[in-house]
Amino acid sequence: MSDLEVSARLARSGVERRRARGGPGGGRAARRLPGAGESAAALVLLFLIASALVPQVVAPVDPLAISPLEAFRPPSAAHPFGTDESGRDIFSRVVHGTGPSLLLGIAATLIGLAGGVVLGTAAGMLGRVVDFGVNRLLEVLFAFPGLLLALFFIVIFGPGIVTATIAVGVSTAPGYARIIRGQLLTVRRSAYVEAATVLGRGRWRVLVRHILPNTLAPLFVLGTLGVGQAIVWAASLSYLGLGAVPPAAEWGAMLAAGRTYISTAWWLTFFPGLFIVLTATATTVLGRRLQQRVREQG
Amino acid sequence: MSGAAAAGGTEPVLRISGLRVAFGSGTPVVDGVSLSIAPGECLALVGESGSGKSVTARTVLGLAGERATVTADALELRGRSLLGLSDRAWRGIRGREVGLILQDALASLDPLRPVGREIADALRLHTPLPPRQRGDWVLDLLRSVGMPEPELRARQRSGELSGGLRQRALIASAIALDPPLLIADEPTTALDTTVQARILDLLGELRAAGTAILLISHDLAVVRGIADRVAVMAEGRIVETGSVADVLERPREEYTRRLVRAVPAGKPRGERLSADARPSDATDARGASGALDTPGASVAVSARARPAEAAASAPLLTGHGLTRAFRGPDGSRRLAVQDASFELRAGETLGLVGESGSGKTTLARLALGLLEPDTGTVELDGRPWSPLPERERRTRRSLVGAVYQDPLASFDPRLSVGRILADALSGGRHARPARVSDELVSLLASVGLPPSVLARRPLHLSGGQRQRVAIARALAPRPRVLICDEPVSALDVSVQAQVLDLLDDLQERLGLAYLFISHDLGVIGHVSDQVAVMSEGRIVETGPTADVLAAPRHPFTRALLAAAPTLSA
Repeated sequence: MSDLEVSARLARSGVERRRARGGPGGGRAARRLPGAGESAAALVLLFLIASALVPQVVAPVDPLAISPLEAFRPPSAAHPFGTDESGRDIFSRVVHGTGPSLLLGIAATLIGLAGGVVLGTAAGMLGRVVDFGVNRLLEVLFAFPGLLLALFFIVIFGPGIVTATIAVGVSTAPGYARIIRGQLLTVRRSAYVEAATVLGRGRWRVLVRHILPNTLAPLFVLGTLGVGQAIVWAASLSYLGLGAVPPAAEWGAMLAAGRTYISTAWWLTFFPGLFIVLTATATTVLGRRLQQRVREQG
Repeated sequence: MSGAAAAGGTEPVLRISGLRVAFGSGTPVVDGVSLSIAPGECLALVGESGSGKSVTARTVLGLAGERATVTADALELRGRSLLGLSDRAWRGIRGREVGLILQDALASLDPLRPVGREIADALRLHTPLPPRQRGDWVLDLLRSVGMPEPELRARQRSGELSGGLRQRALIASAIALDPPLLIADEPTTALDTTVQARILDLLGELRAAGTAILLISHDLAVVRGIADRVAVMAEGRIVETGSVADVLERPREEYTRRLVRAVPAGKPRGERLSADARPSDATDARGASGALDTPGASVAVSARARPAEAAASAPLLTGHGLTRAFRGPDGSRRLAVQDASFELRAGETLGLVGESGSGKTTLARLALGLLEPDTGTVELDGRPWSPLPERERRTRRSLVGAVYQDPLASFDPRLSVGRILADALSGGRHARPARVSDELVSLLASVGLPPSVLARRPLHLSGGQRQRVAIARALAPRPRVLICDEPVSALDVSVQAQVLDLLDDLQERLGLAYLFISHDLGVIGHVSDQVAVMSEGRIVETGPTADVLAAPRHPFTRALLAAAPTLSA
């Protein structure tokens, strides 16, 4: 989460720096063409989205079809990613696992953002007592590593893909809450909020029209960055056997299942792992790009 | 005129001929600049922002930037060519041969190191002095720039010093190696008037001791006080050069005349500073002037309430014995405003002048109803204003508008100019776009802006345009009082002139009352009917502007007047 906080600060200071520089030249930088890394990230993401929406088109082989005779085949033309201990096609399983994995990442991030918005807005807007309470709560939550918090949650509510999603979401919420609170306090004291007050706008209207949009816009970008992280966390939970349950084709669960054979059949763990890395990288690259654009447009 | 005499015989310290600086493949930012400075001479480079002054100065330090292409027929420092020097050679020149003083001493000094250490750096890098002697030298330097208690100050960090002391420390570091040439880039722009006068005195002493000074400034009054010769720059070229008296009193070029005319100091109220046509004429031609004319305003049109008439009318905005305290970081109570009273009538401008920290902005916020006074009351239009809860004040908020020093910060960064103004016009309700757009265009016309800016973001407008948009927004609810907090302090002299003229036009046309806050006595003297001088939270003197400026009674007003640089010799 600290990475996100740094990013938020960078995004904000970028805007301020540009404001300081000002001038009509500002718009020019935004017209920069995307680089090779961004194009590659976009391609990866397109492939992932296709895999999530229509897995049977991308990989027609049934991900759950068992054929013991073809177990532990290394990558070949017939099975580009090889087969697992039951002879299931790993490429097909990885592709079919995209949907649940992405959904989990996005849903968890949304839950985290929602929780963060509620806590952060309460702290930033409802006066000193609430602010004090929320801050102490956040400090307690920050004292535990995020994953530990998620584990704690699962211990209470039992394993499963839904609880894993909620667990990851809940454990990312404190970070978002902090960022939102800080942003709110900055925006609330800004000259344009004062200008709106001078024009006779009510508290509620200023909140809805000026404070919230300017607080939440940078958050949208952070959310994009957060999806990759949420996917990694969700996969970690599945790997520990606390998320998706085998034989479901979920990346983390596949990693866990392939762990036993890692010395003899590397492809069982390598390809799901590769997809986790690719997804996290692609969303992060695009998130940063988005962040940069927001920064450049002020 | 020591400079003129010196220029006759000795070799110039700096000689530039045909200097051209371009960035990338763009048009040159500096295009054929030639100038020379003799020992003990101060040459001022003046011009609007973007004219190439600072780039020229930076080139002399080899700091034009990596992407800059520098060519020149000659670029010589004491006879030695500076063209094509290696980084290493430049390092030998900076500090030792050329000292640099920048506007923002806070940004120029390392915030984490004591200023004494910062100054000693130059000595450590360029001289073989042992540390102990370096320390003594630093103290000598601080003494020579008039730093009080140098032993104490040398151990303080830049953030612990006031603006004036910080600038002294910066000057001390610039002159540590006694460079023959000193470049001062807007050295006093961020400083209060009385502090500015002391820093200018200090620069004058250095010049008298034989240092050549290249002064970069947009403030002609400052230039008048210290420079021997002036070079006027516009669009990368020097358009006029000559002795200060010649250029400023008998400018030959139209551009220079415009700059000189733009200086508000010493110009009577109502005299135009810019060459702009009155926007009201322009809007009449378009038949769109109706937007801002209130039903009863026809009386006010082109008949500004003269002070005598104004005195007869009831005051619009009054403050009675206002006091407001803030808690300092150490928990102590500090009175920002103490027992301040003022009266502002329709069609009248009350100028509030004082140094930074004197409580001007706090008083403005009290008047705007953004702060509650601890004691005393503000009345608006004869009815109480300050003691009300915000909910009741809101219905009358349209009577009072505000214009700030930094217009950009006062706009929601997500909104275009059109949406900012539409929001202000609609009074906070969702208005029908079609009806609004006619009003928007005439509102823009009334501040002299074309409709094409509607779609743009304030970020992409120039400083002057931004301030016009801010004024348009303030005018949208048809207020009767505008509170202007340093509205022109961040603007170039010529842009400042246009904005001041615009405010004057609007006042005459709409009968507005202005509470005009500025640290610049020249601006205050030009715009105000009444003036109130603030010092340490108190209004120490108040009265008709002419009286206060001609016969100041309070010692602080006298000091302020004495320190304010003027164009007249």
